[in-house]
Amino acid sequence: MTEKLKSESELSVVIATIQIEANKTYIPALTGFVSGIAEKFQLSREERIKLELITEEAALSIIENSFSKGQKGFYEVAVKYLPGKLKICFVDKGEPFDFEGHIDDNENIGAILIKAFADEISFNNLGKDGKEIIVTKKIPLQAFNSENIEQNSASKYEDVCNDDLVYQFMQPEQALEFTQFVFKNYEYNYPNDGVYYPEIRKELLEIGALDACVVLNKKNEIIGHIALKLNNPDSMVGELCEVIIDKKYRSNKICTAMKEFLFNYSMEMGLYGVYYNVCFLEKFQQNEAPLSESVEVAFLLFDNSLDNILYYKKLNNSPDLTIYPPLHHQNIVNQIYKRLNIKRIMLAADLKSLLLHLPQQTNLLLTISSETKTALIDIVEYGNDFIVKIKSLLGELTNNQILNVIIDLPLSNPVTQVNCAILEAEGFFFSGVLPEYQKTGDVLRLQYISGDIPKKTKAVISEFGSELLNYIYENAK
Amino acid sequence: MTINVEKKDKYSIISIAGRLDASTSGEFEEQLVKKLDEGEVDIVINFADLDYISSSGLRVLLVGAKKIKAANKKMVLAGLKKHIYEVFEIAGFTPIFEIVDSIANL
Repeated sequence: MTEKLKSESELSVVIATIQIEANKTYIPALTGFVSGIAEKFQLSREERIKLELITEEAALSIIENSFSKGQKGFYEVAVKYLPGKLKICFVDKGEPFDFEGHIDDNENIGAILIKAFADEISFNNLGKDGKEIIVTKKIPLQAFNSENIEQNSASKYEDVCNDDLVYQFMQPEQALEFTQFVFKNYEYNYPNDGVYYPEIRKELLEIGALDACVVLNKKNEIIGHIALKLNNPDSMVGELCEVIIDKKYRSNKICTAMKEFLFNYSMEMGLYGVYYNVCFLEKFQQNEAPLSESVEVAFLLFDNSLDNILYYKKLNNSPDLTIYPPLHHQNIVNQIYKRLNIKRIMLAADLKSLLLHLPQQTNLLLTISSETKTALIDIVEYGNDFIVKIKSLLGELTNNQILNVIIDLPLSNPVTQVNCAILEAEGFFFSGVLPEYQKTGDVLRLQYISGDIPKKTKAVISEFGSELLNYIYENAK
Repeated sequence: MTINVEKKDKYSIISIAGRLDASTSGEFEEQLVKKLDEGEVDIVINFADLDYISSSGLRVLLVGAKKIKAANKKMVLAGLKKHIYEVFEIAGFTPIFEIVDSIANL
């Protein structure tokens, strides 16, 4: 379920790339190229000039340092879009140089200008693939609202009513058409690589390991897709993912209808509930959330525009489990269950005797996404080494540029009552409660952010969601 | 970028229009150094029609400032647009140069 952990690199959209000779003569062509794109994102003339300056200074640093001996070479520039941001990425395979030292040089006018006008600067060594400089410029939010390149303008939407569309289970023979549909909408930029393997998808559908809903238009073309995945074959909760809708149809309530289609199916299957996440970025989803009877159960705070809301829709009654929520979070935990209409027996643990009988070693599962700079730690069983292990892991992760660490604590384990507070003392903060999420049952989710807590976003959420988000921010502070 | 040089009273006025960037700063440096080497009069650089300046352009001005100081002459910058002035401020150039609103204020 790591697909929830989307980050900028996954969600950014490449608008244009250019390969250009490392020669000062061509810098105006490059700045014009970048500025021309920025104009489309409602950047004012003055801000575009600043963007041109950043671009020129970054390009110049490559020409003068990576190709300092005058050798002929090329560098690549990609302009990427994120809501509220344009990222200009420079990649070159010239000689290695210390860009960080270059940018920190207070005598260097170019570096001073980049630092003054760029909103973010980063540098990555790519090994044999060279090195990358990324400069980010914020763009007006209304540029996203009204001109998101994925949404285009309302006038471009296909004028259809939902009655014209057919919702059906995806068939194995539709696998290739599905991949073509993804390509049509995202080319090769869709975050989940699995969508580009039609033969594997066909097989998964044939053996029943994957359920998906596709939407067909009058011409029988796929214009929408959503998949239902289970954590494991025995799982009693599912997760909706791979929500893909044709660009032309995003003003319609297709997303909602697809979700309802799979909710009904999941309910018939006897699943207790289904999770789905909405990224603030994906406005076409966000506008339709929250769905009726869906409840916000967790938030992941990433960058301002990238926070993730995790919803849970209860479909069937589940057994009344006994859980041990930390006492200081009991109120909000209780509210989440109340909203979901899920019965739980909440107990206070006899911790003294429990802590004496812990196994030596903690059993955990670690999933790292270096691309998203996020790690997910799933605690299976606590051991005596828990805190030492987590501290050491946290240090290791942050040293390796992992910016977000998410930890799932089993609520069925009484020791969670103690260990939650210890983790909070280390900088973790409450993120939410996920019923039946793991084999161990319900999960208490905490998040750790390496760096500042992002400012609160203005997401479209319910009154309760807003209350939960406020609680999370209060705790994060 | 276009460069126009004219003599007015005790000043040599160099007017630059367009962009002063990595690709054009060489030409500007050539013209400026040539004027400075003549060493006869004070220099005014008219930026009223300049739309863009990068570190390459600023470096040329720094070269000019050093030369003019050595020659015991004066170099005045005139007509900087708001965003150009901002670049000068950020680069720490405003205390180095005498800056006037326009050549009319000389």
